[in-house]
Amino acid sequence: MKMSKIKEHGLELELYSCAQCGYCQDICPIYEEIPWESASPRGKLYWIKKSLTMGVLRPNVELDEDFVDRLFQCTLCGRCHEVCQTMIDTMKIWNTARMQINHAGLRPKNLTAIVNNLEEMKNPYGLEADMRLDWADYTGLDDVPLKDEAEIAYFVGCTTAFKGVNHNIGYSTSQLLNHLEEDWTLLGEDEWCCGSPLIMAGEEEKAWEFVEHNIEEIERRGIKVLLTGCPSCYRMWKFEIPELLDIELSFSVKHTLEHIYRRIKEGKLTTLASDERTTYHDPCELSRLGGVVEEPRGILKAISKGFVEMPEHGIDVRCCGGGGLLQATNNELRLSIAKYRLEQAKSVDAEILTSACPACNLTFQDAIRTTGDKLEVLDLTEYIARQLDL
Amino acid sequence: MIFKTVPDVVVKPRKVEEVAEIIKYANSNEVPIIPRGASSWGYGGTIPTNGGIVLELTELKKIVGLDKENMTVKVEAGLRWKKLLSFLEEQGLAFNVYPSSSPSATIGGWIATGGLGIGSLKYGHLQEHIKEIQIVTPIGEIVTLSNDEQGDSSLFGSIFGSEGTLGVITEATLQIHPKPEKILPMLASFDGIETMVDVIDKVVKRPVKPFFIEIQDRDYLEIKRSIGISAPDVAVLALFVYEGPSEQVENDAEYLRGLVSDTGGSMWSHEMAEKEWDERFYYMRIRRAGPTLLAGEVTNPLTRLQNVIDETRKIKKNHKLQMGVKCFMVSEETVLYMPMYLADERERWKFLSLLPVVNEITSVGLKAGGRPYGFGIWNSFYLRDVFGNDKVKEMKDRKKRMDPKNIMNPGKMYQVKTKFGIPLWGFAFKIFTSLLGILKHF
Repeated sequence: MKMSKIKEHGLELELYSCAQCGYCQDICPIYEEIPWESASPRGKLYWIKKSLTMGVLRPNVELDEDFVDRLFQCTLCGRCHEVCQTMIDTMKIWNTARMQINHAGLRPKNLTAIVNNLEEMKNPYGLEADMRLDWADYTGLDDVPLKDEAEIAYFVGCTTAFKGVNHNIGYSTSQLLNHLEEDWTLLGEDEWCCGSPLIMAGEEEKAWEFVEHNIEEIERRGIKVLLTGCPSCYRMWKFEIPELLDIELSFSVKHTLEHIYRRIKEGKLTTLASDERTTYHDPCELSRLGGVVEEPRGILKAISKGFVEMPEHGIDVRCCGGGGLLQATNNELRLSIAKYRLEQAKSVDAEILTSACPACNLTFQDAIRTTGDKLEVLDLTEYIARQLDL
Repeated sequence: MIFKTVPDVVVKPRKVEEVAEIIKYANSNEVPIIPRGASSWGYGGTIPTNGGIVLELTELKKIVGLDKENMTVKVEAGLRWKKLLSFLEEQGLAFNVYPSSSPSATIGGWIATGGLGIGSLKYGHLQEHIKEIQIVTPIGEIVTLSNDEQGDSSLFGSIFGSEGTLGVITEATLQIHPKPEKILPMLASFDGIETMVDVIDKVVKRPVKPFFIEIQDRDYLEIKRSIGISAPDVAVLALFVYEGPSEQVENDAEYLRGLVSDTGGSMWSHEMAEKEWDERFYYMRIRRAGPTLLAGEVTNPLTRLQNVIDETRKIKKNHKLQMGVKCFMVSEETVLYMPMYLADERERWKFLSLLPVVNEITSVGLKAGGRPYGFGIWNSFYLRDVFGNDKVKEMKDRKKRMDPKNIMNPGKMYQVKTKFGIPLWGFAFKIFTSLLGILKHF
């Protein structure tokens, strides 16, 4: 397999810019667990580059199944780009490599199952569309707004809607929006996956059908602000869609925490600060890749007197392990990365580990089940709602 | 083609005892051992010349112990410098010198190679700040060497810059200090190299030297701008970094401002100075404009800086290169001179023809009284130029004594050997590089 798509996507220069300085190794969550050159960003870039020069003179470069495994051993956390001396757009390279692998028919089969689920059911979990609002029933949410027109749409996201451990995020967000008396609505069954997992599975083109559908549903309701608590959806809406489709959206995109923090600053949301020792794990797609760093800290400082920072935070955050569809390709690896991060939370004596991402929440909850740690893991919206007795 | 650069096996030991076991095995079977840290160096120090065992040491990464009473920290040799620096900073502590590649470079890697870097101007060579090192000798013994051993030819001293030829460094005990009260980067530009050299000469002769001085010439700044990095359009830009008690730093800063103003130079904003300081590990950013970057690296007398830059610019013109100069001061008299030029490895023949320019740059440095910063494979032919015949003989004797079977990183430094066991002599290498130079005509 020759990585010809790298050239087609204009990424050859990115690849050749690698100075092999190795700054991307010590910070890579995968390399921490699999400390071989081939599992590090530098090693992966080297092999992709080798494949481009494969020819009569260099017949020995094989991008075999082992290499495919290596390429999917990646949470797409973007930290390799952040530390890169030559600012290589590693994210684009990893996604394009995944695309190439998919075209060569070498994609891990669990990812094909996810793609099939998405095509059939419009969510990666293969569940019926009418189950998309079950979280509201399970959590006992009374007022579920499904309006024809509203100012704000809360884009719940599949991992919040379909994963029981995240249902409370949906509940808390809804309660907060109700408490703030916002003019808001859900999209209900009309919400489809944002398309982000398709890109990660190497099926970028298939994502656009999802995007078009969602845009139509949002615009039909005259939405001004699209709110989501899922950093993957957030990044997809805010950056990927406008860039890759070269369009300007008719509505603005915000993470729930950005909205809540604004309301706190406006004095519309007040609560007594707790004494609990809290910390915050930045979701990669929200902080490093999304630029939302100050807001969650502003909120935590307002509601928790015991807020402490973890090591490797803000845009330098170490990934929880839950990104890049790693759960589907290598769950064991995902959990060992999560355990490393939990240790970091424990190292600052935190009682409560907050985050702002359903995938981080799910990953930490899964990991904590195996470690039996006493640490409480909560989405920040859940913590705010709890402080407000909502 | 002339070397067998792919190792037979790569091993990642997690304990010093494992290192010893592997070396004993290699010794009895006469298999080459190539110790490897982050492998971020450009001279091929960790590239095998004839296969063998690559011993990757990055899993030996524990901070073994912090002794606040004696102000020392003991660390395993595969730990990355940046990790150590962050750890110390959290404790309100600091280490006085660190490599410009700290995000990847390992403790052992820097001991085995350069030992000159950020902080060297004020605090001297790395060796002066290390109390003890533990090595595994070429016959597999674990020994601890102390800084108390005196003299140039002490075994402790000879490990520094030995590039993996005398044993494997597995642990080091470092002398640490309280974190300085203040660190102040300042950015100045000058209308010419000579003017700047005068200013540098004055500030480094003061009782307290700056912690770091870094220099970028007009061409280097221009390449930076070409890839979207903001950089002023000036003849030469110098970053001065002071650290220590606030009052003293302020005094030094005032002195520098006065000097710069007297010479007609300009001071740039604090914000820009901070930005340059934050970028101190990012000296290869300009590779993006290549996309390949080649570089010379020579330590040179500061007084000859104008001369070596002039000579290098002639080389640049001859070969029609995009080349810029970056350097930093490593002692009161010495500057680490790094001209970097752009190439494109995709244009294979032209690229090969540009490789020998590195040697031209090194020759310019040698003529001006400088020396190559390291040897690896590429610079091994300069060993005599650097040390002289007597010292080289002493080094070779030591190597023979310690490593009679020549298993430690063989085929480099003392004698470059091809995979066929044939030594490659300096003149042969020169013919080879001249032939490469001819390639540009095709």
